[in-house]
Amino acid sequence: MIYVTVGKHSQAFDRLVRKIDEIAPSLGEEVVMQTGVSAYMPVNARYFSSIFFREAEQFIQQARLVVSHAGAGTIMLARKHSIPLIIVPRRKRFNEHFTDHQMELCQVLSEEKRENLYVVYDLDRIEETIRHVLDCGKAPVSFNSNGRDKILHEIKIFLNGNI
Amino acid sequence: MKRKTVLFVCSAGGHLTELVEIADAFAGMEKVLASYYEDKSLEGNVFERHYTLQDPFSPVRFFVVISRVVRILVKESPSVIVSTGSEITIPFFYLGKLLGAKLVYLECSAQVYTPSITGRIVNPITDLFLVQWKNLVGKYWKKARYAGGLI
Repeated sequence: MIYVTVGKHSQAFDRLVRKIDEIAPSLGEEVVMQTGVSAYMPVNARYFSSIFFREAEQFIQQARLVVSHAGAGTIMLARKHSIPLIIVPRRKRFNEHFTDHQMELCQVLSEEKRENLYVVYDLDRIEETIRHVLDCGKAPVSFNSNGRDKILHEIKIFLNGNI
Repeated sequence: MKRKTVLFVCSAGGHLTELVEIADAFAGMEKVLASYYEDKSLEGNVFERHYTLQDPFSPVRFFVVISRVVRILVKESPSVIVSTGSEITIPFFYLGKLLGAKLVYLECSAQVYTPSITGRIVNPITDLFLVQWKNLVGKYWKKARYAGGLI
């Protein structure tokens, strides 16, 4: 199953939803989409506008591949469960977000060349990227939780000294 | 002795995902959530209580939300307020500060080179201000610390 998610942002991301719906029949894999406030309604995939927090995490865990807007929450969950991930930034100029911070996040993540994480800027390339990820079957990389551990440590030190 | 309360504040989406991810740092405290997200799957699981608020993006709603923020703060009397953004953090932090709460803010990992507007606004009064990318250190009025990132 390919899980496609555009998050809970108040602006639509029709570009991605429509494109995935177009190519869904030829992917040879079930597609499930969380479409947010998108006006476009998929015809080739099961979809819903929004789901509960825990259900979203379950879909991500069960997926062979996650295709997502460059939202930090989904990126974090896909990494945590070692699921291959393709991200497509929302663009300010298409009224998909208030700012272009998703572009910045995509740039820094592609510079870091993380395993099993692919950035697609041009939607004409998404189909080949999906095929590549499904075909290459790379072993999942185990998630490195160093960053989280350090943040927790920092907060605990603060609490010990102040509360 | 009554356990101390930590109030988790955030809007929906990734802000909440990141906040849940750091909830373990507050082990032993009574964890209460205030967010836009109506989701009972988190209650009893991560948080003991959950308040749902509307976003304050209309003049009428603004006053409704602010009065609700005040009531939540008075009722819960949190020792600590922790947030990952976004705008709903601003009234909770400024009013919570007046009531003596310590403030912990983690800039969302979506902010790489540019501070968030919420981050800039609450930075001057925040007691522990963390960012998730090194590029952001030094881009705020007061000191921001980089420890690591969640993604």
